[in-house]
Amino acid sequence: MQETKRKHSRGAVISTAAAVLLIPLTIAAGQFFPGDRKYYIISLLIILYLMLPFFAAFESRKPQPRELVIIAVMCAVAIGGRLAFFWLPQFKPMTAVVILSGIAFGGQTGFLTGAVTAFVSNFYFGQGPWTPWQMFALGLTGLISGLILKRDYVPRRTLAVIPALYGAAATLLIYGGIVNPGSLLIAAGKITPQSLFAAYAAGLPMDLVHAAATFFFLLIGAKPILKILCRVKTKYGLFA
Amino acid sequence: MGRAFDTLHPWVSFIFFAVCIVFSMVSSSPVMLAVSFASALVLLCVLSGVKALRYLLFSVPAIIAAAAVNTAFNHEGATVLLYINGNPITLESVIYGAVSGTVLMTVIIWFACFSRIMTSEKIMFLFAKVSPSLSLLFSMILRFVPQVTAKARQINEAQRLSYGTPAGLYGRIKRGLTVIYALLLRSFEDAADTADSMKCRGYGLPGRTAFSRFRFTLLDGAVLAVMLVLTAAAAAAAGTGAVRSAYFPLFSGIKTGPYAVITYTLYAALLNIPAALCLTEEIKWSYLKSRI
Amino acid sequence: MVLFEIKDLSFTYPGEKNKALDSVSLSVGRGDFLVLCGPSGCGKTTLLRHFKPAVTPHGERSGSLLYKGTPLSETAERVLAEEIGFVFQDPDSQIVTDKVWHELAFSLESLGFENSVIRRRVAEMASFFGITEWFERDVSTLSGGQKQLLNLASVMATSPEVLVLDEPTAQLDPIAAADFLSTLVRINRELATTVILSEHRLEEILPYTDRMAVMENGKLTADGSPQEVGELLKSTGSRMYGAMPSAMRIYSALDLGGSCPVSVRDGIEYLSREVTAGGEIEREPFPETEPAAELKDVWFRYEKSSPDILKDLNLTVPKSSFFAVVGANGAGKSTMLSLMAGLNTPYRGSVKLFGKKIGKYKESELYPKTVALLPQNPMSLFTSNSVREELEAVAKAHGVPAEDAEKTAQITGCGEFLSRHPYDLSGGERQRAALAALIMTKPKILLLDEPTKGLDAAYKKELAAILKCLCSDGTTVIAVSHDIEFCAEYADICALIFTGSTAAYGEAREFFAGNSFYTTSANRISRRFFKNAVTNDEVVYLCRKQKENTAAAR
Repeated sequence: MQETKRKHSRGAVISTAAAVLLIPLTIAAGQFFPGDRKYYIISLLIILYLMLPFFAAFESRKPQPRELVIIAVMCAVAIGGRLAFFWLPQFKPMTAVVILSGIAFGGQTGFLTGAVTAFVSNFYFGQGPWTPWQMFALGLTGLISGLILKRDYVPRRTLAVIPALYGAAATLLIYGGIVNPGSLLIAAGKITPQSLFAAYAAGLPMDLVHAAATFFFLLIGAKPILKILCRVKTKYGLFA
Repeated sequence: MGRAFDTLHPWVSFIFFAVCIVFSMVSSSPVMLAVSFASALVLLCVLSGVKALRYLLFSVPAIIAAAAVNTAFNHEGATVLLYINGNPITLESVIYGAVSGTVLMTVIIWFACFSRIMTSEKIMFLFAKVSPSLSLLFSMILRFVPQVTAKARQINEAQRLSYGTPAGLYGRIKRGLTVIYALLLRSFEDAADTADSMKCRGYGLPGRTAFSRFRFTLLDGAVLAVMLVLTAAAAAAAGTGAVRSAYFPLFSGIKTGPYAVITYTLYAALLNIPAALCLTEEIKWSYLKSRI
Repeated sequence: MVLFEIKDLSFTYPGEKNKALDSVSLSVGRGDFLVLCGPSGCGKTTLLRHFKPAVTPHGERSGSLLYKGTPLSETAERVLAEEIGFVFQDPDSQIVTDKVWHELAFSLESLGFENSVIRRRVAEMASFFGITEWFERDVSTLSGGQKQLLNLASVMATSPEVLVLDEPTAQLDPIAAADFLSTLVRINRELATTVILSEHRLEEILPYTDRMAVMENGKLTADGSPQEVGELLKSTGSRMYGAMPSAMRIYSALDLGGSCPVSVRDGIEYLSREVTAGGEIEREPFPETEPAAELKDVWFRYEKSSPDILKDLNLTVPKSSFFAVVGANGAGKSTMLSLMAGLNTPYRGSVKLFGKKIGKYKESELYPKTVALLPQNPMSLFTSNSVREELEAVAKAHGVPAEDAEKTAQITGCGEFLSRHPYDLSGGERQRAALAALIMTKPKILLLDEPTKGLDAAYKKELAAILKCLCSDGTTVIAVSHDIEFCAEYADICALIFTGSTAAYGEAREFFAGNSFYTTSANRISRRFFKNAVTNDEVVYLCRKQKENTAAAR
């Protein structure tokens, strides 16, 4: 166990160092390109550098079958779970499932679940220039949920206010905060304070629905679902 | 008709799309953009038939909207058309907005082509060498998603038969959660078998290889070489600044110098490699057929 | 050459008192085809999992297990992965990747073979197993039978010495199961691969094997050729007889000596030695009752452009009958069930429950007091942490009085596992728990989709008792099933659906007596001698009667 831990941190360290080095380099190199369009490319590269350490850590710890199937199930439920809410077409449980995955299995797994979910779901809904932004945003949502809420956290009361509030805030600030500027960069090429404000305002109605869905989902569902995930952890003997 | 492109090696196709999309995003020249837009549309028509032309219909409102939005927030530019609430509306900003809208549509059409050609199998192949675990994870998720949706449907039905259709917003959310709950329980139960099956079949032994059905053929080599040469040439030609357009404070207009024309030609040739490949094959077919 | 040598193997699961395996000794030679049978929970699965260390359960173990002369636990992992193949029961959950070709390559990738080697092996497998047609398809588009064949092929890709299979046909329909088993026989005959198989479908497989072993309560109680085992079981009066092929059961019940027949052909030969032609069963007709469900000229398709699933289907189900609907895969049986449950609506024709059109019912009247449906996988119903919680939730939601709830638990025999998690139950227990939840609200019509799938003979009998009990209380039970033996034995009325309409209809036993292919083994064995015997008991009854008559005449 100790061995693998050291190994996976090494993979992460190398790619983190690479990211730290590459980000300023990319920004500097970007200045030599003319035009406004370069900002999209620069920010895209930065996002990729930031995601790289997580994927490298995952790869170098040589995940066991059980870990792989757990992540695969969480992602598949995040993608296919829409069907559970076919009575409420706008209700997308994706973010909530990613947050629960982060809480139950830790930040790294949370990040991976989020990023991979966003990527694979676009096989169904269409890949586009927005894919990396969505990956990063959803991944970060999962990462932070794992960092601020303890792994064995199961809400005491029936109402799970803390994860629910986090879910709503993360949807508005983290997801909306990354995807909206992303779409602005794609559409307009550069960002000004006014256009950023307008982009947020334009995205706000959708973001609010999304945040409300995440809030209610976690408020009612966090406790029972975290219980299942704990059961899975003991049963599979993982993430102990 | 897209078979000729579809059968190219995934790396070749991927590099092609990367080049197209990066060029479309960074080039400031309206002509380059028009070439890219037209080439993307031609390729999409080759890949999925004339119905791809409906993208033209979407493009018009998208470009107008982008121009309008940009005009509202961007007041740079020297040629003032009119004032609204004391804010100047400039010609440059209208042009710049329209160009931005076109970039967006161009990229979207390129991605539509990308989705047709870069199937999940090809994308997994690209990942397989760099990150085998991640590649396998994608494959497993694509395996699980149809299973999960089938299970969700069954659970929904069973719940409806036992408790009826849920009423009201709270009832519906509650029902959805019940379904997700049962879905997770069932999926994890079955996934234990999946993990066992992986272990049984030796997953985790050192030295795992990644099988692929793709082979790098002579044609792939040739296409890649032509593509790289054209890319380098087009990039070098564009680098001379012959096609660069400025939008502010004054729109510099469309460049038509000899270097510019060479750049446009190289660029058009580059972007139309797959379409040309497909058409050549098509012609070959009809020739072969005519000889029967 | 001996491949596996098991000596005095005992095993206990953590926290359990009883041994799951109790000093089992068994040796398996190269090229053997060993069929392991026994009731659910007898330790078959535990024993099979001991052949493959990757899935061997944790617990207390004693005794030895040698593979090619060395302890299995000391055999290198790579050797194990390559030489011992394991196929699980559920065709769906053991598939790892999304494409057929990738699944075939999976083991070879794990073992680190070169691309060219994998390409060749995969091509060989696809050709041998006849899966070239769907080689490039997504796994999710395959039928259950195809999936299980794919699992077999992908395990065979490493050319293993031994194949271990844990009830691989339990989830398949009879045609797919026969296909799978014949492929298995072919692998054993043509490639000399050793096969260790646990199986409930003994009728199909025993004629082809040279060896069977019986397990009961963790002990190996018989081991030998099917004939030997049959004779042995008869002499010990084992309960396991209920699971044996018809010919063996008739032989055992008649108790006339001679060697034990195994296949239908053997059975016919056996009977021709013992009885002469002539004899008939007289049955009482099912009493006339008013119709509970009526389908009249029903046409249905899922989408406007898709083909018709049901075409001019007519069916009347009498009240408080046990009504069975049989037919091949894709004949429209499950669709018919969904129409009766009101989940789908026909585009032409009508579905009436108790004389009233199903569309005229309010949803609250319909569910769950009028119709209830037991899905193929009862786990779709469970949303609680224990059986008790689940039943309480149902009782609370529908205002079921406590005594009714208790009675339900009693009828279904759920009492023993009320506090357990639904997922910790066996297949039979899960189904009983699901039935308890469904019948608590006293639905007038109970619909069952493949209720006997994956169940062993003993549990089928219990299920039949529960269903009969419901019928006598006035509930109408409608089951869709592939299980001819079960329908013939227990159903009152049977209908055969073929390409979306009713091809035959009648009282169950007369119905099967009138068929010549689509009928029970007992009927196939006895049809040259008796007019209409359908079940083993009937055959035995007529044989005995004839013997008595001839004895009296003498």
